[in-house]
Amino acid sequence: MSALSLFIFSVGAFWFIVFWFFRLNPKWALLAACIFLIFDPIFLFLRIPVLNNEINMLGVLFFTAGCILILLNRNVPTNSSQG
Amino acid sequence: MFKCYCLKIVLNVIWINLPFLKGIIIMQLNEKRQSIITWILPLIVYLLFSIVIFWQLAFLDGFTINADYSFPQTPSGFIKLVFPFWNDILGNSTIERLPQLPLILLAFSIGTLLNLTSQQILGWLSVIFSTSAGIGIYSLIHFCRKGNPSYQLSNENMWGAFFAGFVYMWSPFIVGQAIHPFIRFSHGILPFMALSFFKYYETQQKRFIVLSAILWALITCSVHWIIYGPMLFVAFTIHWLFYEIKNSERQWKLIVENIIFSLRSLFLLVIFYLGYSAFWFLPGLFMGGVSLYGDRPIIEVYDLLYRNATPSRITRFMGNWTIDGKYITRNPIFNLNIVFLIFLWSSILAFLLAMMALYFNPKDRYASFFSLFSIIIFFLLVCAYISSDLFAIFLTDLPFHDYYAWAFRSPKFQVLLLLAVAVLDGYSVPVIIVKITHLIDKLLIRFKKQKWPNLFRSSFFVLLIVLQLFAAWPLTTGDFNGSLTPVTIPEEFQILQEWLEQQDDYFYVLWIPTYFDGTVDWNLNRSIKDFIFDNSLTPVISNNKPRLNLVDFIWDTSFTSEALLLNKSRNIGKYLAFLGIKYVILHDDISNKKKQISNIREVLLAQDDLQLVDNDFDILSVFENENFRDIFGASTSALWAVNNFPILEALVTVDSYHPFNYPLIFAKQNDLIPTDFNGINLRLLADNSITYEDLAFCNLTKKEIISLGNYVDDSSWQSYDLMDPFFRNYILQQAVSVWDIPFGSSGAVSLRKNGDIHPTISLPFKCQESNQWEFFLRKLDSTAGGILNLSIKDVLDHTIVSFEVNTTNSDKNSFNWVHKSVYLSEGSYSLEVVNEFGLNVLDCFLLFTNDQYNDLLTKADNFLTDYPVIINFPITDSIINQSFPLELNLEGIYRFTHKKEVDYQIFINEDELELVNESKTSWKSSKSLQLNGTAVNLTITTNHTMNETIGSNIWLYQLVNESETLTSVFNNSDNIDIRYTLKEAEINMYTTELAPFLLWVTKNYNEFWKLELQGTYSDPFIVNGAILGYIIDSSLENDFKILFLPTFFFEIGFLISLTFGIVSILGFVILYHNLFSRRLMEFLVKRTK
Repeated sequence: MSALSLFIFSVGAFWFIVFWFFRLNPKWALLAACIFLIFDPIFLFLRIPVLNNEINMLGVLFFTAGCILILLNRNVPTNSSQG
Repeated sequence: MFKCYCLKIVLNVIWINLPFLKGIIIMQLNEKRQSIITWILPLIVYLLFSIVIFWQLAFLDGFTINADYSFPQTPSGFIKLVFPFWNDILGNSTIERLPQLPLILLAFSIGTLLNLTSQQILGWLSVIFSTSAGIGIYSLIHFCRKGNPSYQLSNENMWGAFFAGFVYMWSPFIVGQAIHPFIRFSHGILPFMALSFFKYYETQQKRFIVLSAILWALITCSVHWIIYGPMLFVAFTIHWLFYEIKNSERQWKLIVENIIFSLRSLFLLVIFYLGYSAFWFLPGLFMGGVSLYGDRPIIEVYDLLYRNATPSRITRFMGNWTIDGKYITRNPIFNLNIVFLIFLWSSILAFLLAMMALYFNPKDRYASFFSLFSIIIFFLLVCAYISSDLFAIFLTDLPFHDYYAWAFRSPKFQVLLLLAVAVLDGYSVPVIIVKITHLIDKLLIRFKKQKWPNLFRSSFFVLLIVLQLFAAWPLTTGDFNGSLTPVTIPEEFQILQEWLEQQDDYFYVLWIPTYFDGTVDWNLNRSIKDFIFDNSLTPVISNNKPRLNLVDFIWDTSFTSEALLLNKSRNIGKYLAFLGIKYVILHDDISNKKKQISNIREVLLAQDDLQLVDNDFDILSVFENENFRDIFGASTSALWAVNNFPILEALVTVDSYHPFNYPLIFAKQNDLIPTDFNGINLRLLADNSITYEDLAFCNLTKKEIISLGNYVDDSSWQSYDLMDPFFRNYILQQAVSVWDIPFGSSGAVSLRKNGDIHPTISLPFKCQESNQWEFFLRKLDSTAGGILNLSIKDVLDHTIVSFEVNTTNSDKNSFNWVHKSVYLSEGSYSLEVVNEFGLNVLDCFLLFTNDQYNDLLTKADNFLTDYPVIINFPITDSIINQSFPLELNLEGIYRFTHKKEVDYQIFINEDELELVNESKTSWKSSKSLQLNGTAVNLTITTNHTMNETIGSNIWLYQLVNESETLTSVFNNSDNIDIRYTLKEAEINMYTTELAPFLLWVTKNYNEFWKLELQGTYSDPFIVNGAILGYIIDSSLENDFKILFLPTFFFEIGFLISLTFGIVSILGFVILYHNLFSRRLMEFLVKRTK
């Protein structure tokens, strides 16, 4: 596993713990995920291919964190929309 | 007549049921007035979009040929590809296509009734399955969201579901799979399979599990679904169990019931699946199970096929390794930076929207399932990118990897991620639409513009659709941006095929040169792989497709490159005849191979036994092989080739040698020893590099050989199969060609350049007693070779013996043995091989006690006394004008001989031999020579230059009687009278010959072609490197039979599947008929009131 991947994974894990302990709303994790994914094309566009993949990966990691937090019913505000 | 009859029955059934069907339609319309808008409208829109994608295939004349997208032109040809079960060219791989049989039979029978070409049938199937992909997701979302009490069929929800279906059907994934129609078909069936499986868990009605099994059997038209299907089923079952356990609040009885229920469901599913699939499952199981589905390729191949599986591309569904080619355009508007940027955003849109689904529906079980599922599949897809070590563990180390690894050769399972993302989009898009509307509502309420929110809502939806259209824009072109454009195939091909079919005999046709890497005049910008094979009415041999096929193996090597192009023989036809080839067809339609083609034409014209058939073709030249006799032959004599495979090239130069009279058996290819050929006149044939080891190891069976490929656990050494085309390409890139036969089942290869870490392979072994042990390692000596460091270590990692081996050889590439003799006491050891430098290829490892080895050597000595020997000295730099020892100590009367063209002087222990011209032949030979089993030194000198001697050979052969010449040795001809009747997978034979003889049949060697003699089955062996051979002792019985045994299992399986299918369909018809009758009655009663 490359050093960059390991770094990305530890960043993901760190923020997951932060979200968990400080009872932050998972929507911020999902928002972060969206921002990373929206930035991915810009990096791709600027021809920085490696970084664009790592940015994207970070996005998916935040998505994962958000999903887990929601599923564990952690920090989900009771008035969240049901669609 | 039959067609009319069938049509009549169908019409009758419809006619009888017409009032019933009419009633149901009226009922449906009355009950759900909305159904036209909610269901029919999306269906029509999806259908229109599907027609946009495939209109060129469905409506235009002509045929599409592009790489894997290469199919027979007629429906009957298409069915032939799958059935009958045995296929001379595909060999084993027919079984991979067999699961397509139900779909092909159904679609192509209907297509034939409607007079469609196979291209149009495929086009219409694509349209149908593409539509079903869209509407499938649409209904899947409707089903999944129905559980939520607040769910309504509101406009937003419908639009969301429609968009989700569109994301699924109009996806870059489909662009990537342009040339794989069956993968596209399975993509269309998938949503319904998921729907039916989910519905089963929801309603717990057994008919849904049966339906799931039927759909799973259908989806297996792309064989990967044997593995991908269970991924979905098991994942959902586990998730369902978690939810049930969570909801049951620790009522243990309920939990246990649920676990039993889910296990029973999966069991039922598998049983029904196997029932429907028995027609391919039974023969597949008999023939070796999953081992049939391709070997695991070397890591380089994974690197290639996963090169686009990066996180950024996977979230865009652009993981296919060739997808970029389909997005290439000359349109200047696409080259604008801003357009490129919009494309980059539009393609990530679906994934972005999907991420929010769970947040908006945190309590929904399907939203949570698909979110988790998408994360798991995503990480599996990008595993190769994150860590190739981890991925290698997944493919090679986890339990059962032998069963699943083949399905993960390339990231085709993206479709599972696509399914999850599409469904999640169906959850999130409506909410986003509502939120945006509210937002705009709030903003606009100040300006009192009532109608604007509606306008904004619709335009937002249209924007989403347009962005998705843009993300997979090659689909708008109707031919996948030039990938599937229909072309007109030159008429000559069809005329020639028909002419060939009119010939009486059963024969093969050889097409040269290969289309591979060619620019074909009538199919520019697309590549051709299987065209000839797919469309031939007669059996063909063409090396267009890399297959694990021994006929290819010969064609890649000796004939096309050496014998044919170096112009070695004037009678190439007899070698072609041995492979059953009656016609050679040279096609001159490859513009970048014009020179090669004209060279081949000259060589073919120069052959005495090939006649150009006169016809008016421009592109095609047909040569008839006058040496062709039959597709099988028999002989009482055979050559036993001990060491190198290229010995065949030397034999080509001997005019009197005819493989029909003296079939050639390569010792290493077969698990047989010469004594298995009792009653056959065997002669040992070898070249001068033969050693006693080579002879000794002829006595080993494959079980006694330890293949090094099985011990590769470090990614720096990789396992390979010598017959694997990928491996052959890989070592060809290192400028090494080696066409030797593997001794073990798979070897190990590594390439080390300066500065890399040292690749190490470790092989544990046990010594049962304290003794002098002999070990042997077979390694490749080549121009790209280097140095190996070998050491034997004990359990405490103490080095017992260590030494270096040089593997460079500037002269030729060949496998040779490393021999070391070591005293080892009882215990466990390991052999460590370190690649110090260069390209090193290891084949196998052998270990014997001193006594065992001596035994083998004695047997080898017996060979030399029991069978006459022929040794070939190919003239190279290393043997000419210098003294060298003869490797074997021969005993008996021998004679040297060579062709007159070049003059040689031969000295034996420094005495010159007198060479005289033979009468009536073009050979010179020495007087007979008594060798008495002692070491002999040879010197061969010549006055000619090296260029003049290239390709010439000197032969040393043992005399069975005094007057024999090499020409007369090979002039042997038996007339064994055999009569036969030929069926697809069975040949019945009858002979009057009494002596045991060797029979060969020109079919690709396959171990399941058995000989039935006196009620017992015996296995074939490989003759001439490629085809089937048997020993027949006809003194036992004159009637015998050769048959492809799995056909029997196919027939049984087919009956089982048919029974399952018919019973299920009848069951469903009755069930639904009753269901609807009841509802119809209720409806009518209600209406009359």
